[in-house]
This record gives sequence, structure tokens and C-alpha cells, in this order.
Amino acid sequence: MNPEDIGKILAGAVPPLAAPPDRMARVRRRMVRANTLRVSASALVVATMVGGGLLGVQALAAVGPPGPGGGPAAGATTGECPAELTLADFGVGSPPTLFPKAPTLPLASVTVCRYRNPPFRGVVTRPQLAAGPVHGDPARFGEPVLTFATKYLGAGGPVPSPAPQGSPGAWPPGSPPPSPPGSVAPASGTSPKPWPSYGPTPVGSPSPWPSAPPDDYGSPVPPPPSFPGCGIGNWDQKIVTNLVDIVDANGTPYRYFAYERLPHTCPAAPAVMPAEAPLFAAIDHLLGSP
Amino acid sequence: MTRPPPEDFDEFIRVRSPALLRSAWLLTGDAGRAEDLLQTALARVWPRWARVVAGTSPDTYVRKVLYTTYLSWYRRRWRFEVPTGAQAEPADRRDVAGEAAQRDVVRRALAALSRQQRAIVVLRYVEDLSVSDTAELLGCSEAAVKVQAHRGLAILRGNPHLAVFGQTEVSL
Repeated sequence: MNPEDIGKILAGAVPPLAAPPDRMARVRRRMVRANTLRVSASALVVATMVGGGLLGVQALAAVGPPGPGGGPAAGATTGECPAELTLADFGVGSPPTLFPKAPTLPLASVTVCRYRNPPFRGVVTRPQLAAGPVHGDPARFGEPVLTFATKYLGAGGPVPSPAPQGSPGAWPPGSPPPSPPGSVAPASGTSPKPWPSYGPTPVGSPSPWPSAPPDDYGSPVPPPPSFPGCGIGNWDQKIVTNLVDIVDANGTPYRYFAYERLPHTCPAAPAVMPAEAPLFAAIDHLLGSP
Repeated sequence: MTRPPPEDFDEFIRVRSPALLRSAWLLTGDAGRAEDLLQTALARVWPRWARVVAGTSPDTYVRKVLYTTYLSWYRRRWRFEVPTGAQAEPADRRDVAGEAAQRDVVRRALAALSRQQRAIVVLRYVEDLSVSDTAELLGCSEAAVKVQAHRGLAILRGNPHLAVFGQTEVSL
């Protein structure tokens, strides 16, 4: 058989094929269906990407704190110490109204938990429980908690926002903190034990932080990055995070997080801000130096 | 949601569909799938019809879409529509036993070819396209067309039942 014969055989084998009367309508339906499928597939891809992004953000938010501050997780149980902390514990993602305010009544109980962050090294880690829960003396924690809540959290966290002198919010150094109605006042006549100071690091002074400990895995540790005017002193330091649960006289619970930043040499932002120092000192007095 | 089809597209379908449907039958070996293939190809062409008409040859373009759709169909598992309603009645009822037998032999013989060989054989020897036109339409090299056409013909020639029909054709 030559190719022409085969072509004739093939062509001759085709049966009579009648066109359906509504072929045009069927083609139209197919086109609409294909367009719908394409749009749906595109929407599905977009939804998957957006959903994946949100899940990624949530997963990222569950691995560690972004910076100092305090905030309760929705439904957080006070007086207990979770084995580890996540950003959700810090109130990340919670509505702003859930962030703690200063207690307005005397404290009835104080519970402190201490956590340590594994070495940071560029990867956010979850603080692990190191001590606690330990019940503290409400009288000792009253003023530090009030100072922390009003002067530190109220100022927006670690970045100091100095109020103009003489303004209602100003709190001159050395003067007693303002006492809102119903707030806890320090017990008169008591002389608390001198607590360690957490003052700012002077400009140009050598870094007070210890040198880097050996790497747990024996791998070379990259040098900390340096910024103009600032320098990370030690990436490997295990940062301490303190969880302070209080309950006021009315039974209202509050939860605060007091934690250090990575040690650095920025004079304007030391590891512990002055308004945090009393609370850190009270915690150290209770649990011992970290 | 969709605009009405251009008048020339409607006319094109009316005029060219029978020939395209015959090619589709040779490719699929089934009237229902042939109609499905044709409608799918036409649905793909419809949104681009204005550009197709502005181009060189709408017929060539539609045929290209038909063949590439066929090739892409069979790269995947069959997952398209299978007509389940009443099939269009054959226009011609002269379908005697001999024609039915020949059709069955041809269908079986074509089924022995790969999809690319089948497309090339139909284009080269039924639609009578040149090697270069076939290569351009299928988006492959001329050498590939020659090789696949040669192999396809060899398979068809080796089919004893088809050879009988070939002798009959010649004797007629």
C-alpha cells in the first residue's frame, strides 16, 4: 500500500457524522464553563497563597517575642507557668484593649515565672521555663508593677518617649511615681533591700556583656552585626523573660511580661529600661539573680 | 456573560465543522469524542476569534487548535465530557456491514499508533498537508514528522486486515 491508498482507506472509513443542531450553544456553554473554571482556579490559587501567608504569619508569631512589653493572651490563666512562651502569650495578635493596664486596687497576690530564651543567633526562639511559679509579696511588687505598667508599658515599650517637663505625664527622676486612686502604695517605714541597678549603658563604655559562650553544636558563630552608633554585644546571651501574674483586691487578674532585649551598646535603649528596673529588681529579689 | 459569537465565526463553524469533525473522528475513533474534541477546540478559538481572523488563515489556526487539543488530551487521563445524551442520527443510513467492518478495522489500526503518529498520518495522508505544514501545525521538526509518518505507515501497512481493504480499494 502506498501512502495515498492508506489515506483513502482512512478517509473512506469515517462514518457520516451529523452536526448537532445546537453546536453553537454547546460551544458557548463550554467556553463559559472554561472561563468559570479558569477564574475559580485563579481565585483558589490566590486564596491558597493568602491563606498560606496568614498561616505563615501565625506560625511566625508563635515562635518568640518581637520585643519587650507586656500583654495577656486572650483567655490566659494567671498564676500558672507555661512550659514555654510564644508570641500569643505576649498578646501579639490580640486586640489592643486586651493589653494590660495598671492595677487600680491593692494587690492580693503575685506569682512570678522566669523564662530563658535559647541563644538568639538570628532565629527567634521560644523562651523556656527556668523558675517558678513563685509567689511574691504583694507589698513589694505594688509599686514596681505600677511603675512598669504606667511608665514603661504606657510609654509604648522599650523606645523611650520623654514627656515634656512639667506636663501631666512627666515623672521627674527621683520623685515618687504618681499614685492613681486605689493604686498600691509602698508600705511606709519599710526599707527594701537594695536591689541591683539596671541603668543605661554609658556611651563609649565597653560592653558589659560577657563574651560569647561556645556554640552548642561546635559550629562557628557569626559575628554580631553592627549598626552606626549601636552594636549587638552578644548574640548568644540567654535573655531572661519574666512573667508576672497579679490579682488585685477585687480579684481582677493582670499579666505582665518583663524581659530583656539583646544586649547592645545603644545608649538610648539599654537591655532594661529605667521604668522596668524596679520590677526586675523585685523579681530578682524573689527568684535570685538570673 | 459572553458576547454573541461573531457572524463570521458562526459561518465558519457551519462551513468547516464537517471536515474538522471527520479529522476529529480519525483522531479519536469515536463520534462522541470527536464532537467533544471539536467543540472544545472551537470554544478555545472563540475568545480569540477577532485576532484569528486578522491573522493569516483561520482554518489553519482552528485545525492547529484541534490537533494540539487532541495531543494534550491524551497526554492526560481522559477527564473530559463524555456525551451521554442522544447522539445525532447518522445523516446517511447506507451503513452496510462492509462499511462497518472497514470502519472497525481502521479504528483498530489507528489505535495501534501513538497519538503523535496518528495526528501526523491524518494530517499528511488524509488532509494532504506537506511535511513542513504538518511540522508547523504540530510545533515539531520536519524530521520528526518524517520519522513518525514513516513509522506510522509501517504499522498500518503491517496490519493484515487493513491490507485487505487496501487490495480491495485498488481492485475497485
